[in-house]
Amino acid sequence: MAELITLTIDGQECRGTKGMTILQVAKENGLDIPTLCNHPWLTTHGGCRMCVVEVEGQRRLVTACAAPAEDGQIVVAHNDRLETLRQMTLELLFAERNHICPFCAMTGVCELQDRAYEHHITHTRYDYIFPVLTPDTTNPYFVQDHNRCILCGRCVRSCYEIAGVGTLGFGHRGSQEVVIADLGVPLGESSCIKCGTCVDVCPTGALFDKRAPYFSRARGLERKPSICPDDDLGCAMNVVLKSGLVARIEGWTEAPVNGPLLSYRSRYEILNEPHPRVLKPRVRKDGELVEVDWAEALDATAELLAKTQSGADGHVVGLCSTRLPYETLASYHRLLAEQCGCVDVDTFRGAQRATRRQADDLYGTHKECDFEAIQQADMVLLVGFDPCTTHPVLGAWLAKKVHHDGVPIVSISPRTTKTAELSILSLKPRRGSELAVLYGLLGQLIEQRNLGHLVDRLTAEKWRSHPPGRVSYEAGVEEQAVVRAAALYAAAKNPVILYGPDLTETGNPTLIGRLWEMAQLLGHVGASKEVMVRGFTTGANSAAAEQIGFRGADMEGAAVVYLLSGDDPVDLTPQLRQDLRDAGAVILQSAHDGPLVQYADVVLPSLKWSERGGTWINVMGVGQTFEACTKAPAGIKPDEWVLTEIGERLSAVKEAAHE
Amino acid sequence: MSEARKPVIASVWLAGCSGCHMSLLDIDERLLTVLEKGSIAATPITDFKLGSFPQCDVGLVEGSVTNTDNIKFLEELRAKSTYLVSFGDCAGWGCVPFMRNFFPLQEVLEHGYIWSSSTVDGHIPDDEELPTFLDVVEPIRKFVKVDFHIPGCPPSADTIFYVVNELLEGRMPAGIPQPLLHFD
Repeated sequence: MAELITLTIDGQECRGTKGMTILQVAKENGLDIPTLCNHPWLTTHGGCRMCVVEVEGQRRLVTACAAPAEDGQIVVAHNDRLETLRQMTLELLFAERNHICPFCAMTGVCELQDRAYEHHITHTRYDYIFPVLTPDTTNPYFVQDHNRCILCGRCVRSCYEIAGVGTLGFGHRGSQEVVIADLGVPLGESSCIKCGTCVDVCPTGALFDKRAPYFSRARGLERKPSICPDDDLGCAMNVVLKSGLVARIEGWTEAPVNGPLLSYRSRYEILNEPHPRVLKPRVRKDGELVEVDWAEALDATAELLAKTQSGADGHVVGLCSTRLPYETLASYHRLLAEQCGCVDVDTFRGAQRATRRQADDLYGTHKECDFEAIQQADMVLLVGFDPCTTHPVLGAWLAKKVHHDGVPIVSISPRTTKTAELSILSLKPRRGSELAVLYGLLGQLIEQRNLGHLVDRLTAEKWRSHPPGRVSYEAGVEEQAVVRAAALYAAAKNPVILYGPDLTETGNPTLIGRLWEMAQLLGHVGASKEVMVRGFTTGANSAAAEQIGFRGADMEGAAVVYLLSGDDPVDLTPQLRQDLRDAGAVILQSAHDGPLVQYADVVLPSLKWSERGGTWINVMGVGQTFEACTKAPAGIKPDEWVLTEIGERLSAVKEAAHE
Repeated sequence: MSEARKPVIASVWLAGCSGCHMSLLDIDERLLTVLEKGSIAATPITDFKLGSFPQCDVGLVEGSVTNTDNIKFLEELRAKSTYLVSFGDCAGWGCVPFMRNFFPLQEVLEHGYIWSSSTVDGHIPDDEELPTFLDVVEPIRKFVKVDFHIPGCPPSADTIFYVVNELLEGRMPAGIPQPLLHFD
């Protein structure tokens, strides 16, 4: 147990444990010491001099945020001298830059302003410098305005410590010092991953969102946690609401998976809705979609479903989004599988899960590793996976590993990936030749580590028959790259293999099997028999869909296709287009008037992400339950209600047919 | 019963938008309280020439210093008032008038008088009667001693009344209490 200490701060006896700073002890004991550069998410900087305190026996003032608390210390945090010094510090900060509160985006929620009010500052006694500083507006989501910057370094620290990229840094010296991106390039052209963490931590208006800058950080706004529906990491976020509308999204310290880190997708892109909302149900009449009331649209839906069910004119196919909560997915599955007797129920991008399932069937069920293993890995092999694009939070974790710990990343993907920039080595095999590369790697591993005795002769032959030369010929990658990739993997103690949508969408389970073999070959199997391999999918609730039993859909000869897309920006592939065109009828439940609407015969309004509550299960099987953040516009019914209504109508039609 | 002499207030308007004076008027019926406790000798709408400014106890200044005339008025007001109180961000913090500090004066004048899209054959006014612009706009404390500053753009009517009332009661305020103190 940590050693207990007692110290006196402003005459009050304060208790703490050894290792705490004076500031931490003070806070824990309900005492206030003003701070500016200190932030709970970040390491200590001790640069703003707001928290200076007097410690008995010490000649100089110490910063409470950095000074370790010690037993028996006598600390003075508030007296006239300190007050004067803090006032001076604040006045100097105000005089240094152009802090013009009346037209600053963050006025009213600015920590510099707060400290000034607390210290009764009405003006500054120093001459203004009026430096000429140009705001950087090149980032699509936020503005960096040096005029308001106090150089507290919170953004610089968050960029390195939380986002892992370290784009922001200090440039120049003395009064010329500014926060710069990379080596002084505009933010929009820098290595910035646009995660916006720096905006969350900025105490002033030096970094602010372009969207709704003047009200989105006002005080007293309601905050509700929610989940990012974009990928299967299960990133939770805080939705900031103003008058019931989403003002902005900010990091949520208590988020179990991602902490305060968010990606540009969950923070900004999610708020960009390219299409107008579907507000009323529509039914196609004489080739035109006509707005009708709910009853008519639901009747039409039930009729279409019932007709297909009773007759021999084909089957019903259900396709739904993986961004929906467990409850909605389950109701949808129940309606189609149980009430319509439909066997073809799947999610969009269901192929990603199907490949994994087939791999299980072929090679036996393998438990894959968890986030913990990824965090501890000393080498990462990415196969058909570009986390910086599809799973940006994971991408940031990897960036952190690369920049903080020098962990090598090897990327194998037929695409040009963003993650390749982080990789020490990136192999770009021709599409369809990934397997040759994996065989080549396995062959190299046996050879380099002399593991031939671990595999049977036939397998070994197969792998050996893929020497780097052949791999190079078949896949178009360099011979040396294959050798080096294998060497890097073989040299690591705790390597982890991550595969993603680009691999699973090939529909080739053999690839996954090879990855498992690769981990097993070198004994990278955890205590609970999990292989140090992990696959990721796009779509927040893929794991829930798998549990519920979405098992693939055959679109061939579909009489009715029932799409529950919600606000999913469905990737309208040529194949899907053709399938929808060929289908007898298409029922679409969608929040937005997107490109799917043209194929629909019945359009039912649906909810968007912020209006949904329920449970999401992430890739590791961790469930998180959230309530809806906003109310749906008038006239839009919850998806559950719609599904129940359709079910009831369907039963009624069935009963009528029996009689 | 001999009544004590009522304090005299006078106000001037330098380079500002007059918003602070609008806010001063927003004290509404409390204006009567001000008149009960003191008297108002001059306001921006009072016509007075340099040298003829009335003697006063409290001089209120709105706006920043942007030309030579501003300095003359300011110096006269300082000489004539016992306490000089500046109010508004232009006078103390740097606000809209200060935005021209980021450009050379000549460029600013050319933008205003020659390059603006509605101007035909423009020229920069150069009559000798006109005051000359300073190279940079400065807060008034750069030129004269200021006894108290009320920040805000504009300061709220409550804040202005609080300070004026304190002065009329014969107290120099030590500061502005929390809810009344704001910079925006």
